Amino acid sequence: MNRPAFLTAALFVLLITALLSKEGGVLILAAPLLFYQIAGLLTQPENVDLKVERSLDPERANPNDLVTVRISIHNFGSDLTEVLVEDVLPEGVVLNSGTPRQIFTLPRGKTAALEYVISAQRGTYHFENVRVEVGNELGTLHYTRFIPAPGQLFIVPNVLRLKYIAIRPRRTRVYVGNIPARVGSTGTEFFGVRNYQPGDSPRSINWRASARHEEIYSNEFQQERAADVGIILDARKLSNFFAGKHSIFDHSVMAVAALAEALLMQGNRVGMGIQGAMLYWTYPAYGKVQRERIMRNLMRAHPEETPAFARLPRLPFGIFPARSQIVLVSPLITDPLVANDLEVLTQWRARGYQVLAVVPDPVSFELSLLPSDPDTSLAGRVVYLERRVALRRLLNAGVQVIEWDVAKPFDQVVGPYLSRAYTGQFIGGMP
Amino acid sequence: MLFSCIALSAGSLAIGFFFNDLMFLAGLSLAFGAVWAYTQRRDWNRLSMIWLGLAVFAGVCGIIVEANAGWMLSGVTFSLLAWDLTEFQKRLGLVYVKSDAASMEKRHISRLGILVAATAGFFLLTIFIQLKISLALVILLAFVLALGLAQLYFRFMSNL
Repeated sequence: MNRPAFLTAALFVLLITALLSKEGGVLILAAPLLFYQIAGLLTQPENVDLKVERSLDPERANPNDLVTVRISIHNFGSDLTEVLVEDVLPEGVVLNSGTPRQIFTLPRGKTAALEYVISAQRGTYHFENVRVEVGNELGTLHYTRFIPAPGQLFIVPNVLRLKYIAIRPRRTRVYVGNIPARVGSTGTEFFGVRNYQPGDSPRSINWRASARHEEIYSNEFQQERAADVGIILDARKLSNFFAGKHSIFDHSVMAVAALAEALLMQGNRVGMGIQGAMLYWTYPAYGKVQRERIMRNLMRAHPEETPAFARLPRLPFGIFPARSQIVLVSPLITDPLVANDLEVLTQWRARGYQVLAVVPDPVSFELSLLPSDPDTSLAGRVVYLERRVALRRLLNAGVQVIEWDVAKPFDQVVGPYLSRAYTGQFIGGMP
Repeated sequence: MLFSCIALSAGSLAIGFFFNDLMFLAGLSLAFGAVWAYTQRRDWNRLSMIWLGLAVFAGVCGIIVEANAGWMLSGVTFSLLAWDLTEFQKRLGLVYVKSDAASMEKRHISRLGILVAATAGFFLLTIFIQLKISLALVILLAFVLALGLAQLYFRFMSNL
């Protein structure tokens, strides 16, 4: 019950009691309540005209970084003796220091500032209204208004730096890049020897070969070009949740961010697909703008139920051209009764894609969450061996598989393997 | 100050009942004050509204059993102040600028002082000036006043 309503109710009860009891003395008791109400009305602010501005510093941060929120309140109306300012925090934001709720005395023409520090996990957070409550001096009357003060906070995933990713797709683009294109021309890596053609630089003549045969031969180098790379992030709840409600998904997101960054820096055309309740595409493109698009989409990504799309997607040639590079980041469901992930990867390979599967190891992840006892350890070992057999089928199909224990840093564990040429071996797994 | 107001409220009611030989009610008033003080110490601020209601009820009972109206009025006034200070204390906790807090406190106390003075003045007036008007008329006037206040309240709210 609010204060003025309570006082008014008490006042009326006293009057009715006086009427019923025919006691004039009861009316005297109503006097302080009446004076209190009158005093409240007399100290009421005449005109409320407030403007609220919000600033976030920084507006873009990494998970758990500290972000300072500043709210300025300008008073263009009459003097206000009590202004309660309360910022409405979006869900998921954690208050670290300061308070989003304060009372100010705000004379006409003055500005007050509210400041507090927050942090949040990966995602986009929309700040909308600030609740302002103006009261009189006795606090009997409160006028509440939600004043719009929009703001957006972007918490992007941490981007780990990978030096170089050695991919060898069968098809490259015409633009210069870092991927050996299996085509002879100018470059740095030796490709072969061919007959001398007019216009060849004398420096390219292979004198040893020319001396052996009675013709002049030139060295040819391998062209280095940009490639089309498609990154697929598995956001199915089915494959990302373990030991109850523990998700491995954030590790996958971090891996995708690092891979996308490195591949774009190498000059490739990178696109991304997030397989959740539906497929969310980031169409392939180059450069920093594309990096930003991918980060924004990663920011919003979260594991979703997938009743209709339980399987990994069929890749459209329009988005990911045939014979280009596909990087899948997924814990992979190896049980064929649950989902046919391995079959889908084999199909991708059969359609000519060069496939790299970066697999956050779900077995070691789940084992770290379960109580450590001999039974659990044995069960973990059995599951691990089953997965190993299943993943070996992928290797046999020509899919490059890197399994990664998420307890270890991605850039340090996976980075060195990615920078080397693929040898057809299984990488990672439990010791 | 809050605890002083609670003590003064309970004490005034108790003295009023005591002078009228109503020992049980006097004791009950003191117990009421003790419980109120205890709940305030535990920061159960929401109960202060109930305590104010009980104080008003005790005052009405006192008037009906012909206890001294002055003590009863004093009890109700101080309980009103205690109720007000409970809320004010809570609001003051949200003020971060020290100068704001000091000025708010000063202004609030002065307003309460005026309120107590006005009540005391009104009581003195009722002692010295005896108007011979019928109770029904007084009640009618009071109703009109209360209705007017309620209307004023809603008008102010809509104007803001």
